[in-house]
Amino acid sequence: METRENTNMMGDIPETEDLFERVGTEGLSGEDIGEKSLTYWADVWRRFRSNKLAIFGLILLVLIIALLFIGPIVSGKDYQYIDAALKNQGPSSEYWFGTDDMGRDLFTRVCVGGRISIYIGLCCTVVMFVIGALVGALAGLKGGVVDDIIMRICEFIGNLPYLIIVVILSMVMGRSMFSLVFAMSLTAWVGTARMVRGQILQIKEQDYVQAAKALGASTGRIIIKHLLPNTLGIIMVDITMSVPGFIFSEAFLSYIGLGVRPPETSWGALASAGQQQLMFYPHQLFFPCLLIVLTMLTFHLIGDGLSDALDPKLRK
Amino acid sequence: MLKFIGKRLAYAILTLFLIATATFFLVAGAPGDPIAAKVGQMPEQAQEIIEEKYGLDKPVLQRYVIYMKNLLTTGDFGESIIYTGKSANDVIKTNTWVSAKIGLLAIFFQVTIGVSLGLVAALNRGKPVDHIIRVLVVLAICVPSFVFAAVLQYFLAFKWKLVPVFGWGELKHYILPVAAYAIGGIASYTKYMRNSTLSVISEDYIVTAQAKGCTQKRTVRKHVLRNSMIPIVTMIGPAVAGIFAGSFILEKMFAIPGLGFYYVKAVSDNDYTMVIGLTIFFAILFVGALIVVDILYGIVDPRIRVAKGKK
Amino acid sequence: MNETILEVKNLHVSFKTYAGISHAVRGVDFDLKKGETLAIVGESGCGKTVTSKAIMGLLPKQNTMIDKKNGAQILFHGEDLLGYSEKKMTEIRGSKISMIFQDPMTSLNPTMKIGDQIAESILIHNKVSKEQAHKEALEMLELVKIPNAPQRMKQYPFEFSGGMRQRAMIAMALACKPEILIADEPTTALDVTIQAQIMDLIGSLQKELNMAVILVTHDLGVVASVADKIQVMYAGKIVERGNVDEIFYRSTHPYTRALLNSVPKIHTNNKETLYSLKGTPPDLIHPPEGCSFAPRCEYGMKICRLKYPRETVFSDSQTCACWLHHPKADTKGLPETMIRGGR
Repeated sequence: METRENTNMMGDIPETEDLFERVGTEGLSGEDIGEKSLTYWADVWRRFRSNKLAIFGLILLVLIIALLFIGPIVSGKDYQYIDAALKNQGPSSEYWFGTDDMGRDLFTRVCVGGRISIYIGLCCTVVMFVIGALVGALAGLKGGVVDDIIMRICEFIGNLPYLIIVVILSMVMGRSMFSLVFAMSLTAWVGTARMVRGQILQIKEQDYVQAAKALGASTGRIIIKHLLPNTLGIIMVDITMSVPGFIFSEAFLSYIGLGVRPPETSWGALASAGQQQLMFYPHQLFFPCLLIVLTMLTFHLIGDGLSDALDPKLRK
Repeated sequence: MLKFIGKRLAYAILTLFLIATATFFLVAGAPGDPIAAKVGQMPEQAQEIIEEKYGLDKPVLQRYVIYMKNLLTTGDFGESIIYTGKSANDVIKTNTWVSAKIGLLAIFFQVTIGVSLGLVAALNRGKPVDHIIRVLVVLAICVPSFVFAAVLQYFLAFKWKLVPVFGWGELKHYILPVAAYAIGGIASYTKYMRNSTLSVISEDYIVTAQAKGCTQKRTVRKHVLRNSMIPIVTMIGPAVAGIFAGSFILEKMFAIPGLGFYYVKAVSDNDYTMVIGLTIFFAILFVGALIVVDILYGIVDPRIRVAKGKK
Repeated sequence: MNETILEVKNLHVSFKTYAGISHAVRGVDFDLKKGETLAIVGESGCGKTVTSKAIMGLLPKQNTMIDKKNGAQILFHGEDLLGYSEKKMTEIRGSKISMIFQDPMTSLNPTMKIGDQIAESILIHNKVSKEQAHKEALEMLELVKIPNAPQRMKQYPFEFSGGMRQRAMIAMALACKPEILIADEPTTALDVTIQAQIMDLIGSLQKELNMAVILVTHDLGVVASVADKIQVMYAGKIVERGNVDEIFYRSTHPYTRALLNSVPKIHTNNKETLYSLKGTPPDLIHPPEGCSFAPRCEYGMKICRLKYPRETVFSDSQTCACWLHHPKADTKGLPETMIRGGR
């Protein structure tokens, strides 16, 4: 029998009789599946954990929040205490971030203001998410006329100039925490609603949901078992990206004098006050801005990490 | 296409009407009527003049009808309640172009620089250039524009005295506000352009182009660019629409006599009539810009053009 | 007619992936004569598309490794394409060797008119004016039997049906009258009725232009009427080759058998269930030492899993790499046509 040598694949195994014993497809199943199968969320968490930048962001965020609450206790100062003799001090061992134009301790003010900023960011996000998810789910699940009406309203609100609405509302409603949150989340939920609706429509058409329906699963079961896990991911990314957006907007409003009412303060209000002193005491602007930037950074890193972890295809 | 534009226009007019109405009633018809309250604080003589002039003796609804009639027939956006004789139309006439110039310049730089950087990053994916651009993008996105403005003002103008701290009128006055305005946008355009280019590069038709014998340069120019620009074009429109709102802070910081500057001033002065007038004007610009975008989008993406033409 | 225009020698292609290095093509040899049709058949992921993209030089450069140490060569008219610069390759692509792809829905640029896309390949390779290129493009569209060609030239891909798009793709690929057309699953994404039309079109154009065709497919049914020779690929290797008769009636590799059995036949007895091959192709990051089909092979022997078989030659055209053709092999229960002595 003429045979051709197949290069470099030949081992030194002698072709002895016993090797020609038939074994068939023995051991076919199971053998290939080496890895333990993980649940979806365990897998997401595993991928998120392996993203060093995202973990760095998460740790930094925890540190910042801890600082905001522990800071004033450690510094032992009151954020409203005015010491006319100590105006516009630079950073020192006594006043870590210096003092402002009224002699108040800037470090304590940055901590207390930061709480307000983050609190507003979180409140707005929660309101945005709850309204958006409910409305979006309603539109997506009900469909038909309900969907049409909701989408019309969304389109209308989406076409409004966001900042102007916020300005008008805060102007009309007066300066309070409630009016701030109300004004900022009034238009923001539209995006969430659209996204949730889109996801639901997309998933509704997918074969596995059709299959579940055909197998007689109830609507409630489909929502809990199929729609929720699949929409949750994209919503989580949206949430992490929204918090810094709201902190940004709050800073903006405080900057033009429509933010929180003194003596309460926020990062935006502090930055605005620091801006007045920029030429001679730049540190008064620097510290609040540093905290804003760092917080934004952490949320962005976490959000990026989350979206990578949720959709590994995107990263390749 | 014409039908599509017509429908879009009708919708826009409805939107504008609703905005104008809501603004008027929110501001003028708020509990306690701020306009009436404001007038109440003035000296009696002034009060009478103003009450007559603004028709404050009439109920809100009637004032609204008069206002809308004036707006639609003569294009009168209303007169300031604080500075007698100064109308919203004056402010619009003299200051719109100032804001527009800064905003359009900034958007021009945002798009050109952002698109180029995004393209470079995507085509060099995974290489050092890509990493550097991505890090810069993340940093720039995290810094609010007023922080940029402050940093630029402090170093370029105050410390190094390269450009004036603020002021208006000459070319050198544009540098700081335009730069501060542009940086954040450059970062977002870079980010979106990078993503969209990456997804276009992995499309089958790019392989087809290469299989045809297109060089890399030609593939990028003829096949990648146009397709990856589609999502960018959709971003430009709202950006142009947002010029006036986006420049509030910068105009205030650099003391630029633009629309935003006067709007913020009107808001802090509680100059309600001026706020109503300017808000409606902003809304017109905003909604108008969105229509232009829709039409532009149709030109770039033939799928939309034809689909809409058929409807 | 018998001139060999393409020779692929010991081609090894591997990819860097997140999980490790994937050995997609592991030693492939074949040659192609002028005007001939070669079919490469196998399941998805067996390396057939990678082989064809390697010929075109279209594999992504960042993560692809073509191992030249083993003397890998792709000889086109005796010149090694693997040694060509990117610039030289662009001159070959689309003019001497063309390729059409599986999914005509995504393979055309959505924002460019069909006419411009066809004219582009003419413009790149020939020194002609734009008008001339468009004229030739129009002729190509007529050649692939697209009705109303002049109007169609000005339309965009989304205004075309799937079959029309594949015709446009063919027009684009053949615009420069290439010597070789590589068709990668050209009919897989199309309706059954359209499939036959497209295959007929490729067949008739092949004769008209006297070009060679490499037809890459997973569907043996498509191959039967058009191919001159067939090679069956599995896990990056060619396991059996032969002409149409040999592969369809006298196949000697259990994998070829399995593929043939999974094609539905008109004469199938109603009670017979359609054969389906169990398991999936192996993981190419850790390719098995022995025959990669062994774990799925009902006739598999111990040696199959330890050592890769030599090629047994049955005729000028037919060879097979399988231990069953070893004299010591256990041939109990094998179909008779499989038990044939080599030459």
